[in-house]
Amino acid sequence: MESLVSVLKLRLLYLGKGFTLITTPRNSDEEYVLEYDEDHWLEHGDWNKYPFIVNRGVSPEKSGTTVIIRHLKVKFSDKLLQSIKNEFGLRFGPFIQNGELKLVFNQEACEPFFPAIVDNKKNEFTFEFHGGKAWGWWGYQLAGLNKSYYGFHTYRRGRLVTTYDKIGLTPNQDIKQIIGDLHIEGIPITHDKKGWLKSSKEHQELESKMREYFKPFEKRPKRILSGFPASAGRIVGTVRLVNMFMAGDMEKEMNRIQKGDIIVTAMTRPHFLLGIRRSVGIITDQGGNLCHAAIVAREFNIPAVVGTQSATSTLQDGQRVILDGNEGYIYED
Amino acid sequence: MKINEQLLKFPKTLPNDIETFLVFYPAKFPGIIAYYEEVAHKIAGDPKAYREYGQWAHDELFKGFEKIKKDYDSGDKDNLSFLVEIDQRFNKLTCYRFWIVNYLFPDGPLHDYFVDTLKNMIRKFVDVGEEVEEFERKVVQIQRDFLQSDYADLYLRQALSGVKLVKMLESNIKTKPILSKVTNLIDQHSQENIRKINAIWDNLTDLINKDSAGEMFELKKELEIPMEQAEFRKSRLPIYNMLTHAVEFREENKMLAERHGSMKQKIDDFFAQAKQKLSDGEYELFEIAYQQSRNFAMFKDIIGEIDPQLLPLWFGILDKAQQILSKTTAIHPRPIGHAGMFYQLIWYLPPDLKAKVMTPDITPFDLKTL
Repeated sequence: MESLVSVLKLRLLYLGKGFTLITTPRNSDEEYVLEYDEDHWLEHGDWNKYPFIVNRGVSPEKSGTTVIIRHLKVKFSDKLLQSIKNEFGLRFGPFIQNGELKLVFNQEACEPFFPAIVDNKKNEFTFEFHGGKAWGWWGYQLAGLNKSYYGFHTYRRGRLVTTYDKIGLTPNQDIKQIIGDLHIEGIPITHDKKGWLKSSKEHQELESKMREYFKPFEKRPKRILSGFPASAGRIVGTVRLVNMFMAGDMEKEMNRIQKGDIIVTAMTRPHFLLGIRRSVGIITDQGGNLCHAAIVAREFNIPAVVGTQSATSTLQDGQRVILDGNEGYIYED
Repeated sequence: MKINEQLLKFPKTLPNDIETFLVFYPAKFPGIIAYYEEVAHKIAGDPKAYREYGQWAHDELFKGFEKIKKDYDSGDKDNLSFLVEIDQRFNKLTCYRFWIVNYLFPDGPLHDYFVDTLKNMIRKFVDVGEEVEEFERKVVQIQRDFLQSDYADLYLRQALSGVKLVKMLESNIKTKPILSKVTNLIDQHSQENIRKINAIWDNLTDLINKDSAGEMFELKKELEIPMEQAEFRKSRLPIYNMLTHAVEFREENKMLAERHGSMKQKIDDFFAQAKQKLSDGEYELFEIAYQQSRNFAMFKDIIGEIDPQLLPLWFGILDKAQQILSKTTAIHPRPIGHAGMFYQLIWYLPPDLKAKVMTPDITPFDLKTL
């Protein structure tokens, strides 16, 4: 819930001056009430020490979270509305699906969205620690999502409390695609769950298991060259070293260029137009943003990296490479 | 418009300096440094002045070439001293009239400045969306459109004339069957067909060359560039490439022609957006940055028109000098370009000529005294 509050705080900071959050754990007679008033909090300092009002003796059937927003005035454009819906659908997807949260924007209910994981493979785990118990699964989500949405949906006492929680079960900080569910029992709500978990031996074992699992995903393409990004786009292709200066070799050189090749040359020449059209990308030793290769690549809408200085000597004919015309890098495929 | 003094200084590096002029020219013709800086102060911030200068340099280049060629034609072509003198004159002409427009401006610090300014200004007027990546992609895309501009360079002109070529071949009774036959072969995308395709193009070229009734006048005009190249390169390959390209990429070329046709409108729309969102000073800078990057790219082509005439002659002179020298010295052969006299032949020249080549030429450039 702490995270939910801080997220709401962040979201509502731009929207309103205050809200009330009422939440009741499942099968519990306790009700937590949080009154947020921006003016009051700004005056009294530390946001993390917010006062909870705990009401006891509520009906155990009453379970759920209610957010009452006051002083709210928002105007959404269609485009902004769509991205808010996407964002909230992703961020609060599990809450929406549980029926604990209902978000309506411009009379339209926000649908939950769940990221896909590689091979639908859910690695299950379970362990006990210091009298507590943890279980759940982890997986590797497919790339393409906002990188901040990774981590675990954490459940305590059967209630989903946090989505995308960075709880310490992320062995490699560079791999920001780990997602899963984590159920924990036995940690008092007032205790730091991350510290509690990390101190246990079982947790360390689980972490090393996860590290093994993530090894294949850690493989990153090796960057071998850089230059000026002259024309945008990212493609994979076969290097074709072409000498465009020697007129005598023109026929031989031209015939070597096949569809899908990446032309690697000192500099392009207009009489190689046919070869250039058949290629999917251009890498040159020489040139800047206005050189022939850059101009022709922009015209034919193919990615290009120019001015690498050493492409013709570094790359080998037939080598598979990734050409990143957005950043100006060449990677090994 | 005020441009930072540092940007108007003589370039220290050139990314596109294939002929390594930057190594030799400032040493051989020291006057080029002051001359470039003087010209840069006058025209760097003024697109109209740049265009005038570019055209003037182009005219001077051709006049200078004619003058040297005339002297060469009437001189003793077997005399090494004469060949060296002609080469040095070509170098001086190239340095002061070709290099400055083809390399010093469009590849030097001013080029970087204008291209970066363009991007920075685009950032200011493009709608900031929700996604950072999307915004960056949009900025790069618009910069691409601006750098491409509504001007068709040599590559694009060839691609666009491909559309016309196919149309002409289709509409002529004599060439229509040729076109359908060759289209079948090309569409098979097989290496084995290349010889057959080239043979068909040979027939077509002969047909065009023999045309006395003027039926293929337009077709010949459209193939002017590759025909020129074919003569210069002593191979019909440029013609084959041009024609095969026109047929193989007929659909893509049509789309390219449409995109190019609407490019002016697109750029005008961006300018209207920029006018609304940028301050007057920023808008002025933006406009100049666009005009100058367009000019830089355009005049590279315009000044490059000299190549088909200049290069065969000049390289021929260097070859001849190499042959004469090889009679008395063992020369390790290597391909040489414009500056070949400075980095290759210099080692084999007799002392008096070596001194001549290595002595800096401090006299200012003038067509009359060239």
